[in-house]
Amino acid sequence: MYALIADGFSYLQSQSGLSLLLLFWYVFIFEIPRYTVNFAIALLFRKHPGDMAPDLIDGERISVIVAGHNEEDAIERCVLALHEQSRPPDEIIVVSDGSTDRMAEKIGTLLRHGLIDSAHATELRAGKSAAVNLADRSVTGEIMINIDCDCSFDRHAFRNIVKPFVDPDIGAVSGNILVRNPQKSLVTAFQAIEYLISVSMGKQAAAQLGQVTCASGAFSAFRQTALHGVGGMDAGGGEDLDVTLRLRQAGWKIDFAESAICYTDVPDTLTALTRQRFRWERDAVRLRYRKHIDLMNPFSPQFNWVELVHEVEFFFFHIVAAIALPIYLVWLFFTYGDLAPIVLVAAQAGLVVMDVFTFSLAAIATPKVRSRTLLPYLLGYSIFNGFLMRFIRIAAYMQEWVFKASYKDTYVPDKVHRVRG
Amino acid sequence: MAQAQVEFAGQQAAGRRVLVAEDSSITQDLLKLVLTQRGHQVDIANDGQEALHALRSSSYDVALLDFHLPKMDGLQVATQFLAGRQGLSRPLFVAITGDVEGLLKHPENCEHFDEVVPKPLNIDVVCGIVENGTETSGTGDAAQPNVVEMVKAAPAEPLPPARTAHAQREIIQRPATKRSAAERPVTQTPDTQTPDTQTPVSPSRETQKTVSPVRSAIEDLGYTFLRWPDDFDPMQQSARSLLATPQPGEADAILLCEAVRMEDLSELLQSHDLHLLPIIDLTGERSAGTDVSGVTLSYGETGKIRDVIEAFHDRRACIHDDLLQSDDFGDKLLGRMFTSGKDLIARYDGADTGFIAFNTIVDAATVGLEATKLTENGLLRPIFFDRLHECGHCGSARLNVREECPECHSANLSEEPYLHHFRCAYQGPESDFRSGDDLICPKCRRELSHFGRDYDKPGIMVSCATCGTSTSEPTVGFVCVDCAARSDGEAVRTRDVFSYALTEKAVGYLEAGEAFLGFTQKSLRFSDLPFDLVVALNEEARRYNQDQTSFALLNIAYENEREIDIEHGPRKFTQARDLFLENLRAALGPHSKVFRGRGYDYALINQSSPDDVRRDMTGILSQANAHIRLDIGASMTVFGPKDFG
Repeated sequence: MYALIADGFSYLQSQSGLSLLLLFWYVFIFEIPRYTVNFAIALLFRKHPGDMAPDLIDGERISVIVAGHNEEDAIERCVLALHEQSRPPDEIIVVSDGSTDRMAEKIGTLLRHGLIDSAHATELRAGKSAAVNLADRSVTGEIMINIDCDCSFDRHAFRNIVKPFVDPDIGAVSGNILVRNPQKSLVTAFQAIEYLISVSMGKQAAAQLGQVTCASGAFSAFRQTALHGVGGMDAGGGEDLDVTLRLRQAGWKIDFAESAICYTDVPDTLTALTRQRFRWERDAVRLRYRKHIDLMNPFSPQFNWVELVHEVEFFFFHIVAAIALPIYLVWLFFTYGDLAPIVLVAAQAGLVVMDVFTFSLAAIATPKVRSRTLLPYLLGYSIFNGFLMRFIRIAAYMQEWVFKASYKDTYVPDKVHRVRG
Repeated sequence: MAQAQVEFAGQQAAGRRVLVAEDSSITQDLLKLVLTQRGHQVDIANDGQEALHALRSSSYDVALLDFHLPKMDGLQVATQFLAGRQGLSRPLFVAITGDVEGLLKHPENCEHFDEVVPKPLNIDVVCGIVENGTETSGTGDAAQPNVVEMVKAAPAEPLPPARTAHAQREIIQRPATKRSAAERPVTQTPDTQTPDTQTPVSPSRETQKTVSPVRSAIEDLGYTFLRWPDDFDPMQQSARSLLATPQPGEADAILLCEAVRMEDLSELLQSHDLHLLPIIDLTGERSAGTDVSGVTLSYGETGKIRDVIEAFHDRRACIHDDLLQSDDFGDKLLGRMFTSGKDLIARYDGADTGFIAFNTIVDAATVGLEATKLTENGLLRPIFFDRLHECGHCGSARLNVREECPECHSANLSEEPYLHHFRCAYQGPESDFRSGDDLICPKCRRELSHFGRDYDKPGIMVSCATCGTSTSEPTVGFVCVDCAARSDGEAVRTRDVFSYALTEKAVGYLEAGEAFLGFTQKSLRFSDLPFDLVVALNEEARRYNQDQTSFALLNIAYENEREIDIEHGPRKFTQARDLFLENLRAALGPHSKVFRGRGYDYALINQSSPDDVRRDMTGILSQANAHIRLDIGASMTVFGPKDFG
């Protein structure tokens, strides 16, 4: 065993630069650019808190929409927390979307106590999109903040998420979603790292490049004229990605407010995580390559070079990278036999080093997160992110392409699946 | 018919000449002892003949005649004495009898008696009569100063105009039909009149009115009625200003001949003992607060009125002096509930801003306040009636409750179904989609043609026509009908309303007086003591005065009487009490006497100091309680000579 490792290292050491490139082609094609781009952009364009718009936008009413299904346990705490904001919303509209628990009763009580301004309760579930649309009818504020009621927010989250709207071209702002339960399990710890790197820092970088493609459904703010201009939410799922893509097509800029921090509980078992990611990836594929396929068609009037950037990025780093991984592995084992694991270990070692750098940068960018406790998990993060997540993606993509599985999500009612585009 | 002109001379009367015709030596001793001690001159007659002789040979202010006297009964004595003395002076005749019914049924005219005092005697009452009512030298029928005619109905048969004694408890329950006949003139001197009665007016106007057949029939029942408004001051028709202030018991009922305001009626409670009288409604307007309605009765049903009046008589007779004489409003309320035999029942009353009325003659707010106090004292048991909402501004409970817009509080709301278009996720009220007969999605302009496939209706939405807001959760608001103030459903004040029932404690209190509540446990009420005990006590007092021979009096109370009555019946309690007294006799030995009283029993121990007895109390109690299976809760209070100072 030891001899094998020693052989492996001596073999690697004896390789020239070109042959190393050939050996680690997957890493050089799919990993290095991703890290480099992230790293460079974050380093070069990192905003300091003071760089943000200095003041709130004056005189604009802020409305909050909370749409939930069977959230009787969470809704009251959620509404009370909204009143704790340093910039409390001017209006809170709650929709109980066909809840079968006592959520409708709860929101009636909240309304009578004056804690919310409008309450709607339907008896049949219509899905998040329709629930948000229902609430959106009665929104009086120019800025609408859409939240999930199982999220919690920093005291200044609302103040910070509306700041970018001083720019009249901004149509929507995505909040910075962080993991509330990183200590719960290994899976949640890896996700905490993932959110910090890909959401918190990744979106900061994307925002610099005008490439934010998803105003998170858990915490985002919309300019009402922009949202109404695109017809509000379309039938889900993945309605947050969908509406953001449509806003972009309509010419609105999408920003990311890294200091508008929102915490959410992420799935704490691999099964739950897999189920969630299956849904996300399927929706992404369905929206990008079915509903919004025009964005990639140079002959379509919808085609836009700016949109092509994120489409290519998604296609290359998500889809191609995922599909290439098993090919690389097969090739590696086929070509190098016993040395393949050594090569992989070496690759992982390199990735860990890069992860540490990137993570450090992300941690500096988002000082709110107690990142030090996450450090030990960095050792395994590249396995989680580089292998596990990619295999999940492959499975999800296959499922969607072959079975159109996104049309069977329980997240969206069947009646909507049947007719939605 | 002799009409006595009796002067009420107030408390200053002293040194009356009193004839006591009584065959019981104990009663003789007692009356002589008590009256002599109070400065009166007392002669004793052992039988009827002696009494008649004494009356003819001497002049007396008061003649206390036992009804059942040997040789000649008390009635005959009075009749024979008065025969042929029309217009001459005469003593105040007081009948003493344990057989009131017998006296009243006596075939001869027994109205010569001015008072009837039942046995066992209440010494306070006797003293009161002797000192407050004396003969005046009158001019017989001719002189009628200040005569107030209280009784108008024609008599079925003549009966004695027995004026009740001061204690209502002592009033004899006279058969109604035998009452009244005698126009019983009562002369009142100004110094005993109440201010309200200083200008007596003959109620002759009553007879000038046309009365309904039912009213006539009711009046023909032979009771004494106080009529509203005729017997009340026409200037200020208030129950306080009775034209005639009848002594308790002189009136049997109050007839409401005209509509009366609640506040006027309420004052009846404040006024003398009128709150203990049944109120008969002849107007039909206040049937809930009154005891019986004469309006709904047919001519032949007036017997119901009699039943009510008799029931009042019966229950009133059970009420203890303490409560009859109490001016406390709560006591009066309890008395009213007890005599009327009805709980205080709350009901809705839209005419009142409080929205509640009780089946009594007092306004609901006053009843509520007083009943709460009585409930705290354990005298009333509240029975939840309803929870009312009150205007925070004016306190009225007359509120309009409505669903209103959470935004502008308008009640101008209309319901509309939500409509959900599956394809584009638009969800809104149906009117958003309505385009003639078609449903067109306002977002994607597609036609919704298939319910369940294109769209569904997931719920009902409420839209406000005033401000356009829509919600599925309209709020509840209250608007005061009286002052138009508006309150949120959540913020509106509430008040609980109860009906009330008398507790066992209240009944005990009503029947046994304050002693029942333990207010006067440590003091003896002379008038409560049995005769023979009073006599024996006087003997002991005399001995104590002579040679300082001490004695001790035990006052025995039974705390559990009511409980045992309820649980096992009164007979069991009596048996247990008898056994207790028997044991007590044995325990105390030959130097003691045990006396049976009404509410309490007593034991008089000769030649013992109260302190000695107190020391032995535990032993005495345990011996007396021996072999009694029921716990009668006997407790003893010891009094000595010094307590009678």
